Amino acid sequence: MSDSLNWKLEQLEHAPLDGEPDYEAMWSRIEERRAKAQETQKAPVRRFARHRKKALVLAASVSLLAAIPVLAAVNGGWETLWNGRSSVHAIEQGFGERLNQTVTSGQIPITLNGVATDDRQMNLLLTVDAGTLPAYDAIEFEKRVLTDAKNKAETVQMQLRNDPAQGRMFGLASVQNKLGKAKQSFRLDLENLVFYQYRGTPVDLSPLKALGKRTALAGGPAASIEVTSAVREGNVYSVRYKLHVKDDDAWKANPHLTLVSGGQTIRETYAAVLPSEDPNVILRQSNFELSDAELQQARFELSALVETGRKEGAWHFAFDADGKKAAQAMYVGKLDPAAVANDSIMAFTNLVVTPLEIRLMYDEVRNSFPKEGTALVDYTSVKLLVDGRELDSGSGFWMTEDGGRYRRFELPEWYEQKDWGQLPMKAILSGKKVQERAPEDHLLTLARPSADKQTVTTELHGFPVTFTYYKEGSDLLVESSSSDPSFGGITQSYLNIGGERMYAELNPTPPGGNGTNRKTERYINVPSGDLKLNPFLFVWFDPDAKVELNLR
Amino acid sequence: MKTDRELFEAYKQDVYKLCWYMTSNRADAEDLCQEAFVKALGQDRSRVVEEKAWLLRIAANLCRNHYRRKKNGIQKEIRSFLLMRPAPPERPEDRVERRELSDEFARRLEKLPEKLRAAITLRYGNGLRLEEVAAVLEIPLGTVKSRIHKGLAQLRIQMEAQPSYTRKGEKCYE
Repeated sequence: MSDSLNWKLEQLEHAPLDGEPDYEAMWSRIEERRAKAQETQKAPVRRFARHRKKALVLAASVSLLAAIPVLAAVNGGWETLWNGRSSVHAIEQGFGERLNQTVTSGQIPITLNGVATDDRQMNLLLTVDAGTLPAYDAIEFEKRVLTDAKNKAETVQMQLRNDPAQGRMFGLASVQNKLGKAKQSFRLDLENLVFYQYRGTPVDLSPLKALGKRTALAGGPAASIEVTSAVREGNVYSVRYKLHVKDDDAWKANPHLTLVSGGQTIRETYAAVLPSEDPNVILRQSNFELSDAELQQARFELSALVETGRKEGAWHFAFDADGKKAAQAMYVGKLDPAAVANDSIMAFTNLVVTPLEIRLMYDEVRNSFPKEGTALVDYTSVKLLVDGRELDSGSGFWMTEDGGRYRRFELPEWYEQKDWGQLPMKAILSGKKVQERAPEDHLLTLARPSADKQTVTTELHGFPVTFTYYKEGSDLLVESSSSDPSFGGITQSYLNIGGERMYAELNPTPPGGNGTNRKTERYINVPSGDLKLNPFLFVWFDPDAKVELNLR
Repeated sequence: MKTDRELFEAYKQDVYKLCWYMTSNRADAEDLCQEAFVKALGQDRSRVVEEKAWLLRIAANLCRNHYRRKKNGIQKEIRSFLLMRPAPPERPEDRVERRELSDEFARRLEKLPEKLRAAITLRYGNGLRLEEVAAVLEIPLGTVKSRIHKGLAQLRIQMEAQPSYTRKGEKCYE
């Protein structure tokens, strides 16, 4: 081991960390959690709410048990699931129902521990004592249906996480809330626990010679694969391909390419499923990081989930849920437009706090395209700073039925703070992404394009951008890129031909880009002679930009 | 046996340090550190002999669950949930955002696979003996040695690729 590495490792044990937390505050929170857990364990046994509607149809070997409701004492297994922590705390705070119904089928007891709701969704907490599980990459209940009192059935979304230390699985089933402020009866039906693993099928295509090729596949959910694009940039190999699938459910198997080189499987470092006009085609882009030597000897495999085991059973639960308390607990606060004004397309309007989450509502302010001289600004990261604690909404946004947009945040554990109107709160925007439009007179001369590659460079918002152009038959290919990683790439360029615009053929870029700022555009059947290219729409990033908005 | 507060005071930094090197994110490290103590104090520890190893085991398990949830994008257990989740219309990607790191070495550790990082952190960050690392991670001693060996090899490759990190005047040799 080198002296330098040895020195650093020796320092590691004793080196102070930069910015340790406030341990006193942490201890206070620990004490509060402990006190709450102890109160819960002393709570009286709760009677079941009786099911008022028709009798359940139960499978063989079913038993129904009552248990003392001690959600917190199940050691927080749900807290690793999205919205799990909020659901547990909502129930502990009284904004949900403790159920603790256990049904056994196929020698597997499943307990419906509780239900928590807000105005948008209902979360059901479950534990599954499935015993020893086979190895798997994915797991699901083959049937998972929630039926309301009017016999309207809906398939629930289910998260399942195995906790080997506790010898059980924790599940969270979600469905769009139908409760409103009412109290209703429901039935949850679960059948057959199914296990899946990824299996690879060799593909008779060399990554170096795959472009434009279509080959049949033996086995798996796709009948054939067709490579429509294969680009090598640095150590990234990016391939776009169509999978011609056999049935509508093929996408559930998550079929995707992997590379195998020197006996090692190389997985995607970036992947995106692109919009496909043909329902029998899955269009996907995959990026791989590998050396030239690895690429030389690599071959494709198509990886997809296949069923590798199942535990048969049928579990049926009946319960009541009351949306009234949750509706009463909701907080909606209008934000001061002046205080939350910012340069992005997000015009924040309201703060909504429900028993399950915090929503930062906003109107999106944009035109279809940016106007010349102005820019469309977005921030990919929106965080909340609540009483000194940072909450992350992750990427992406959510929408209400009426088209309202919002960022959602899981509630911190101290939901007992009910006076949300007074709680200090900030929104922190970062990951600035800007879309701009080049002026109409920003024209680059493409001198007599031919089969030979030529380049022309320009500056866009101060970023150096190189356009490499060449012809393939009567088509013109234009490749754009920048050495500056903060340049996000050309979204769409156009040719100015006699005052008219000619656009390249549609070639969708994956959401979030393809991992590089390189773009290749094909103009179909262009005239001969000099051409004028306008860079038109482009994107750049400012990773250092940060905006803080006082919400309270 | 230590009181709850004494236990916290004795090992808070060890637990936080492990969580910090495993997550490279202060907010996550703080949450996980707190969670580890909440879990630990809720258990019967009257028979626990090696308190530090026991606490670090709880923290390491939490870090592992947290890492897999955030790093993998799609959890292996929730395939059907994610495939059915109503995707936002414009940005359905599930990237993990990089956080700013102030510690250069933490940045190097972050590049290691989770299993190697845990072994290296427990051994060098928390100062545990190899046998204690094995007890915390509940793996054989031979596996601990193998993971540390591999982790060091990868760290060495990282450092040798960037000679500017060698201290001035320091010799580098195998």
